[in-house]
Amino acid sequence: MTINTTALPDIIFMLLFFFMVSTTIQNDKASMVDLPVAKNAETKLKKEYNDLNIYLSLSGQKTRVSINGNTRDFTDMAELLKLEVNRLKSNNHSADKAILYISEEIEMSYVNAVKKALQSLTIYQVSYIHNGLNVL
Amino acid sequence: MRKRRLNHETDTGLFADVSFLLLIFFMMVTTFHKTYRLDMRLPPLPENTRSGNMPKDRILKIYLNGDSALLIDEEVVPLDAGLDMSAALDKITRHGTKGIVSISMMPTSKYADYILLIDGLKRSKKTLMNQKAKAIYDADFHSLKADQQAAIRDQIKFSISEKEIQ
Repeated sequence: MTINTTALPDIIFMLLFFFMVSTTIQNDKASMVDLPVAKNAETKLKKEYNDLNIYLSLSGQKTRVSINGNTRDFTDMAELLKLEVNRLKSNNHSADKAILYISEEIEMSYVNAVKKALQSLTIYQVSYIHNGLNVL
Repeated sequence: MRKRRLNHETDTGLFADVSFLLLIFFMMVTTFHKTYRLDMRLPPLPENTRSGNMPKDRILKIYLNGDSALLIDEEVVPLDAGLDMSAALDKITRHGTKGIVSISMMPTSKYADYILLIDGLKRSKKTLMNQKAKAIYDADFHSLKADQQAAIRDQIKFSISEKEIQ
Protein backbone atom coordinates (compact mmCIF):
# COMPACT_ATOMS: atom_id res chain seq x y z
CA MET A 1 0.00 0.00 0.00
CA THR A 2 1.45 3.37 -1.02
CA ILE A 3 0.55 6.78 0.29
CA ASN A 4 -0.79 9.14 -2.38
CA THR A 5 1.47 12.21 -2.42
CA THR A 6 -0.31 14.07 -5.22
CA ALA A 7 -1.54 16.76 -2.88
CA LEU A 8 1.82 17.22 -1.13
CA PRO A 9 3.08 20.15 -3.29
CA ASP A 10 -0.35 21.81 -2.91
CA ILE A 11 -0.13 21.58 0.85
CA ILE A 12 3.45 22.87 0.88
CA PHE A 13 2.52 25.83 -1.34
CA MET A 14 -0.51 26.56 0.84
CA LEU A 15 1.72 26.59 3.91
CA LEU A 16 4.29 28.76 2.11
CA PHE A 17 1.62 31.29 1.05
CA PHE A 18 0.12 31.28 4.54
CA PHE A 19 3.44 32.12 6.17
CA MET A 20 4.34 34.62 3.46
CA VAL A 21 1.05 36.49 3.96
CA SER A 22 0.82 36.24 7.71
CA THR A 23 4.46 36.91 8.57
CA THR A 24 5.46 40.31 9.81
CA ILE A 25 9.10 41.22 9.81
CA GLN A 26 10.34 41.91 13.27
CA ASN A 27 11.34 45.51 13.69
CA ASP A 28 14.60 46.01 15.46
CA LYS A 29 14.30 48.48 18.25
CA ALA A 30 16.50 51.42 17.55
CA SER A 31 18.92 52.63 20.16
CA MET A 32 20.10 56.16 19.91
CA VAL A 33 23.86 56.38 19.90
CA ASP A 34 25.90 59.54 19.69
CA LEU A 35 28.74 58.88 17.27
CA PRO A 36 32.01 60.73 17.73
CA VAL A 37 32.87 63.39 15.15
CA ALA A 38 35.73 62.53 12.81
CA LYS A 39 37.94 65.58 12.50
CA ASN A 40 40.49 64.40 9.91
CA ALA A 41 38.33 62.19 7.69
CA GLU A 42 37.80 62.94 3.99
CA THR A 43 34.35 62.59 2.51
CA LYS A 44 34.34 60.21 -0.45
CA LEU A 45 31.21 60.59 -2.52
CA LYS A 46 32.46 58.73 -5.58
CA LYS A 47 34.31 55.50 -6.02
CA GLU A 48 38.03 56.12 -6.05
CA TYR A 49 39.91 54.91 -9.11
CA ASN A 50 43.65 54.28 -9.30
CA ASP A 51 43.79 53.60 -13.05
CA LEU A 52 41.97 54.93 -16.08
CA ASN A 53 38.90 52.79 -16.68
CA ILE A 54 37.64 53.68 -20.14
CA TYR A 55 34.31 52.38 -21.47
CA LEU A 56 33.19 52.79 -25.09
CA SER A 57 29.62 51.89 -25.93
CA LEU A 58 26.94 52.60 -28.50
CA SER A 59 23.90 54.57 -27.43
CA GLY A 60 21.57 54.38 -30.43
CA GLN A 61 23.74 55.62 -33.31
CA LYS A 62 26.07 57.61 -31.04
CA THR A 63 29.27 56.39 -29.42
CA ARG A 64 29.57 57.32 -25.77
CA VAL A 65 32.69 57.34 -23.67
CA SER A 66 32.87 56.88 -19.94
CA ILE A 67 36.09 57.48 -18.03
CA ASN A 68 36.13 56.52 -14.37
CA GLY A 69 32.38 57.05 -14.08
CA ASN A 70 32.11 60.33 -16.07
CA THR A 71 30.13 59.78 -19.26
CA ARG A 72 30.15 62.08 -22.29
CA ASP A 73 29.71 62.03 -26.06
CA PHE A 74 32.75 60.65 -27.85
CA THR A 75 33.56 64.11 -29.26
CA ASP A 76 34.60 65.18 -25.73
CA MET A 77 36.80 62.12 -25.18
CA ALA A 78 40.22 63.81 -25.38
CA GLU A 79 39.19 66.62 -23.05
CA LEU A 80 37.60 64.24 -20.54
CA LEU A 81 40.66 61.99 -20.62
CA LYS A 82 42.98 64.93 -19.94
CA LEU A 83 40.82 66.11 -17.03
CA GLU A 84 40.75 62.64 -15.49
CA VAL A 85 44.51 62.13 -15.87
CA ASN A 86 45.15 65.50 -14.20
CA ARG A 87 42.73 64.62 -11.40
CA LEU A 88 44.40 61.24 -10.80
CA LYS A 89 47.86 62.80 -10.80
CA SER A 90 46.79 65.52 -8.37
CA ASN A 91 45.59 62.71 -6.05
CA ASN A 92 49.06 61.12 -6.20
CA HIS A 93 48.06 58.28 -8.55
CA SER A 94 50.47 57.40 -11.34
CA ALA A 95 47.77 57.25 -14.10
CA ASP A 96 50.13 55.31 -16.35
CA LYS A 97 47.76 52.50 -17.30
CA ALA A 98 44.42 52.38 -19.10
CA ILE A 99 41.91 49.57 -18.90
CA LEU A 100 39.61 49.51 -21.93
CA TYR A 101 36.12 48.04 -21.83
CA ILE A 102 34.82 48.31 -25.38
CA SER A 103 31.60 47.00 -26.92
CA GLU A 104 32.24 44.51 -29.71
CA GLU A 105 30.31 46.51 -32.32
CA ILE A 106 32.42 49.67 -31.85
CA GLU A 107 34.43 50.63 -34.93
CA MET A 108 38.21 50.74 -34.75
CA SER A 109 38.37 54.45 -35.65
CA TYR A 110 37.06 55.20 -32.11
CA VAL A 111 39.47 52.74 -30.48
CA ASN A 112 42.40 54.20 -32.43
CA ALA A 113 41.37 57.74 -31.40
CA VAL A 114 41.44 56.66 -27.73
CA LYS A 115 44.86 55.07 -28.21
CA LYS A 116 46.21 58.26 -29.86
CA ALA A 117 44.83 60.37 -27.01
CA LEU A 118 46.52 58.05 -24.49
CA GLN A 119 49.81 58.22 -26.39
CA SER A 120 49.68 62.02 -26.45
CA LEU A 121 49.39 61.92 -22.64
CA THR A 122 52.36 59.45 -22.52
CA ILE A 123 50.16 56.60 -21.28
CA TYR A 124 51.41 53.52 -23.09
CA GLN A 125 50.18 50.56 -21.05
CA VAL A 126 46.70 49.40 -22.13
CA SER A 127 44.63 46.35 -21.22
CA TYR A 128 41.69 45.27 -23.35
CA ILE A 129 39.00 43.52 -21.32
CA HIS A 130 36.74 41.30 -23.43
CA ASN A 131 34.58 38.21 -23.28
CA GLY A 132 34.96 34.69 -24.43
CA LEU A 133 38.08 34.48 -26.59
CA ASN A 134 40.75 31.84 -26.17
CA VAL A 135 43.55 33.94 -24.78
CA LEU A 136 46.35 31.70 -23.59
CA MET B 1 -21.45 -6.12 -14.05
CA ARG B 2 -19.92 -3.13 -12.14
CA LYS B 3 -18.02 -0.55 -14.20
CA ARG B 4 -14.50 0.36 -12.97
CA ARG B 5 -14.10 4.06 -12.17
CA LEU B 6 -11.24 5.56 -14.09
CA ASN B 7 -8.98 8.11 -12.37
CA HIS B 8 -8.45 11.02 -14.80
CA GLU B 9 -6.19 13.08 -12.48
CA THR B 10 -2.53 13.42 -13.38
CA ASP B 11 -0.23 12.30 -10.62
CA THR B 12 1.96 15.31 -9.74
CA GLY B 13 3.61 13.65 -6.77
CA LEU B 14 6.92 13.47 -8.59
CA PHE B 15 6.72 17.03 -9.88
CA ALA B 16 8.90 18.38 -7.06
CA ASP B 17 11.47 15.61 -7.53
CA VAL B 18 11.78 16.30 -11.25
CA SER B 19 12.08 20.03 -10.62
CA PHE B 20 14.84 19.51 -8.08
CA LEU B 21 16.66 17.15 -10.42
CA LEU B 22 16.53 19.74 -13.20
CA LEU B 23 17.64 22.50 -10.83
CA ILE B 24 20.60 20.46 -9.58
CA PHE B 25 21.52 19.48 -13.14
CA PHE B 26 21.63 23.11 -14.33
CA MET B 27 23.47 24.22 -11.19
CA MET B 28 26.16 21.62 -11.87
CA VAL B 29 26.59 22.24 -15.59
CA THR B 30 26.36 26.03 -15.65
CA THR B 31 29.56 27.95 -16.27
CA PHE B 32 29.76 31.67 -15.82
CA HIS B 33 30.90 33.88 -18.66
CA LYS B 34 34.54 34.79 -18.03
CA THR B 35 36.22 38.01 -19.00
CA TYR B 36 39.69 37.99 -20.46
CA ARG B 37 42.38 40.58 -20.54
CA LEU B 38 44.81 41.41 -23.33
CA ASP B 39 47.74 43.56 -22.24
CA MET B 40 49.55 45.66 -24.80
CA ARG B 41 52.10 48.42 -24.74
CA LEU B 42 51.53 51.35 -27.10
CA PRO B 43 54.51 52.99 -28.78
CA PRO B 44 55.27 56.70 -28.37
CA LEU B 45 53.67 59.01 -30.97
CA PRO B 46 55.33 58.89 -34.44
CA GLU B 47 57.36 62.10 -33.91
CA ASN B 48 59.23 60.36 -31.08
CA THR B 49 60.02 57.18 -33.00
CA ARG B 50 62.79 56.20 -35.39
CA SER B 51 62.04 55.52 -39.02
CA GLY B 52 64.01 53.43 -41.48
CA ASN B 53 63.83 50.68 -44.02
CA MET B 54 63.12 47.13 -42.97
CA PRO B 55 63.81 44.05 -45.13
CA LYS B 56 60.55 42.79 -46.60
CA ASP B 57 61.11 39.24 -45.38
CA ARG B 58 60.90 40.45 -41.80
CA ILE B 59 57.48 42.06 -42.22
CA LEU B 60 54.17 40.24 -41.95
CA LYS B 61 51.47 42.32 -43.62
CA ILE B 62 47.92 41.93 -42.31
CA TYR B 63 44.86 43.76 -43.63
CA LEU B 64 41.58 43.82 -41.74
CA ASN B 65 38.60 45.40 -43.44
CA GLY B 66 35.19 46.47 -42.20
CA ASP B 67 33.49 43.24 -43.30
CA SER B 68 35.58 40.95 -41.06
CA ALA B 69 37.72 39.88 -44.03
CA LEU B 70 41.35 39.18 -43.21
CA LEU B 71 44.27 39.23 -45.62
CA ILE B 72 47.61 37.84 -44.39
CA ASP B 73 50.52 38.23 -46.80
CA GLU B 74 47.99 38.76 -49.61
CA GLU B 75 46.10 35.57 -48.84
CA VAL B 76 42.53 35.53 -47.58
CA VAL B 77 42.39 33.80 -44.21
CA PRO B 78 39.21 33.06 -42.22
CA LEU B 79 39.02 35.21 -39.10
CA ASP B 80 37.92 32.93 -36.29
CA ALA B 81 39.05 31.54 -32.94
CA GLY B 82 41.24 28.96 -34.71
CA LEU B 83 43.38 31.56 -36.49
CA ASP B 84 46.97 30.22 -36.68
CA MET B 85 49.79 32.46 -37.85
CA SER B 86 52.65 30.47 -36.33
CA ALA B 87 54.19 29.61 -39.73
CA ALA B 88 54.07 33.24 -40.85
CA LEU B 89 55.59 34.38 -37.53
CA ASP B 90 58.34 31.79 -37.90
CA LYS B 91 59.11 33.19 -41.35
CA ILE B 92 59.67 36.75 -40.13
CA THR B 93 61.59 35.86 -36.95
CA ARG B 94 63.84 33.04 -38.19
CA HIS B 95 66.68 35.46 -39.06
CA GLY B 96 67.33 35.97 -35.36
CA THR B 97 66.30 39.60 -35.53
CA LYS B 98 63.08 41.30 -34.56
CA GLY B 99 60.25 41.03 -37.05
CA ILE B 100 57.32 43.36 -37.58
CA VAL B 101 53.65 42.46 -37.80
CA SER B 102 52.07 45.31 -39.71
CA ILE B 103 48.32 45.51 -39.19
CA SER B 104 46.38 47.81 -41.50
CA MET B 105 42.75 48.32 -40.70
CA MET B 106 39.89 50.44 -41.93
CA PRO B 107 38.10 52.98 -39.73
CA THR B 108 35.02 50.75 -40.01
CA SER B 109 36.83 47.57 -38.88
CA LYS B 110 35.08 46.10 -35.88
CA TYR B 111 36.69 45.99 -32.45
CA ALA B 112 35.61 42.34 -32.01
CA ASP B 113 37.58 41.40 -35.16
CA TYR B 114 40.63 43.31 -33.95
CA ILE B 115 40.57 41.45 -30.60
CA LEU B 116 40.17 38.14 -32.46
CA LEU B 117 43.23 39.01 -34.56
CA ILE B 118 45.42 40.10 -31.62
CA ASP B 119 44.27 37.03 -29.70
CA GLY B 120 45.23 34.86 -32.69
CA LEU B 121 48.66 36.50 -32.83
CA LYS B 122 49.33 35.82 -29.15
CA ARG B 123 48.11 32.24 -29.50
CA SER B 124 50.26 31.70 -32.61
CA LYS B 125 53.33 32.99 -30.76
CA LYS B 126 52.62 30.46 -28.01
CA THR B 127 52.24 27.67 -30.60
CA LEU B 128 55.54 28.64 -32.23
CA MET B 129 57.31 28.69 -28.85
CA ASN B 130 56.01 25.17 -28.16
CA GLN B 131 57.11 23.97 -31.60
CA LYS B 132 60.63 25.35 -31.05
CA ALA B 133 60.79 23.86 -27.54
CA LYS B 134 59.84 20.46 -28.99
CA ALA B 135 62.41 20.75 -31.80
CA ILE B 136 65.30 21.89 -29.60
CA TYR B 137 64.66 20.32 -26.18
CA ASP B 138 62.04 17.70 -27.03
CA ALA B 139 59.76 19.10 -24.31
CA ASP B 140 56.84 21.48 -23.87
CA PHE B 141 57.71 25.13 -23.44
CA HIS B 142 56.20 25.25 -19.94
CA SER B 143 58.33 22.37 -18.71
CA LEU B 144 61.60 24.09 -19.69
CA LYS B 145 63.97 25.85 -17.30
CA ALA B 146 63.84 29.64 -17.13
CA ASP B 147 67.04 30.13 -19.17
CA GLN B 148 65.82 27.70 -21.86
CA GLN B 149 62.48 29.55 -22.04
CA ALA B 150 64.35 32.86 -22.34
CA ALA B 151 66.47 31.43 -25.19
CA ILE B 152 63.34 30.44 -27.10
CA ARG B 153 61.61 33.73 -26.38
CA ASP B 154 64.69 35.44 -27.74
CA GLN B 155 64.24 33.63 -31.06
CA ILE B 156 60.65 34.84 -31.50
CA LYS B 157 60.68 38.59 -31.22
CA PHE B 158 58.35 40.87 -33.12
CA SER B 159 56.63 44.21 -32.75
CA ILE B 160 53.09 44.99 -33.80
CA SER B 161 52.61 48.04 -35.96
CA GLU B 162 49.08 49.35 -36.49
CA LYS B 163 47.75 51.87 -38.95
CA GLU B 164 44.37 53.04 -40.14
CA ILE B 165 43.86 53.15 -43.90
CA GLN B 166 41.04 54.78 -45.82
